[in-house]
Amino acid sequence: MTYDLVAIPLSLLFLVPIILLVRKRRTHEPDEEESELYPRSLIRFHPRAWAPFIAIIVSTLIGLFILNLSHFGLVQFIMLIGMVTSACIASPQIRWTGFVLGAKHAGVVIFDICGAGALGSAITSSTFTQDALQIIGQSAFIPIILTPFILAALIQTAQGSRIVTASTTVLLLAGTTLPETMNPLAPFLMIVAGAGVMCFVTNPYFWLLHRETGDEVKRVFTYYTLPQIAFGFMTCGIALGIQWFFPI
Amino acid sequence: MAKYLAEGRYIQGIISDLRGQIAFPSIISAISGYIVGIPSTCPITAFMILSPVTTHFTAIKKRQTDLMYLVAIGSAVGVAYVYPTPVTFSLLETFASTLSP
Repeated sequence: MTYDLVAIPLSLLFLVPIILLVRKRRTHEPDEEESELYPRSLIRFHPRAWAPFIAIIVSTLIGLFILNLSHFGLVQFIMLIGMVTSACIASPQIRWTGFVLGAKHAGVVIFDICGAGALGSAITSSTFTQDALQIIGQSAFIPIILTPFILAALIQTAQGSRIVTASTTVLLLAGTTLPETMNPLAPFLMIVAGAGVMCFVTNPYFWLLHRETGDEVKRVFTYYTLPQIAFGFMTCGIALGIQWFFPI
Repeated sequence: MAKYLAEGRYIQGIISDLRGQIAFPSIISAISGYIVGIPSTCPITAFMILSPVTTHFTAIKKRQTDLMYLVAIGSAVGVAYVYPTPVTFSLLETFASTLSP
């Protein structure tokens, strides 16, 4: 089964209601208030801007069907091709600056992933998994099949980062027999859903939006947190549907 | 990739191309957040790159913040759901034997 064939349409579908919600607040759009920064009459296609994305799509097909790369090799391959393409289209003046800035950013992401792995390993070594599974198993209201979603939601609520949540939850679940009994797409989507279901006070993006928009917490919660709670529960529902109709 | 796109002002090219196809700034904001979020691997980076650009679509502060929320939601959803991003990467590593990207 191919993950992105399900995930991309699903995630794009989630954008529709939030766009409609924002547009509903306006009487007509576009209107005379729009700035002249991007006048439609002056628009021309920018193939160089799209080159990295095109390179990623082409290299994915090459990696999958010609080179038969494993998923681990594939992600390295396509990101490398994307990065090389970006470096090639960049002007010589910004090539080194972009590389330095990108390397700094990559370092932070790697640190995040390594930190997540360390946290996940520490939690795995503790009795957290057994305790959490026991509590979920003993609960009369929570089906055991929802464990990936609930675990991810708990971890995400506690520490805020999706990357850390996803890595930690999958490490915890790998120590159980639950994933073996499920369609792999179902726990995968449940973890993705749980990892973004509570983007609130522990989420750095929430506070960034609060600062950048200048809005009060209630409005940021309404326009940023609430839609993601809805997306999370909808994704979990879809994962349950996948598990129900396609058990293995 | 994201840094090269930002430094080379290619993000403006992407927004401009989307503007040519889509008349509504709200849709452009959400879609550009989604698209730029994936290679940047971080929704906050995508937001920092895009929000100054998309807010130029309107002079009204309230509408600017609406567009910022759409960029935020688009980038968060793109990074959370689409493979390959750091969120989905660790998951697929575990489910790799039975699930392909």
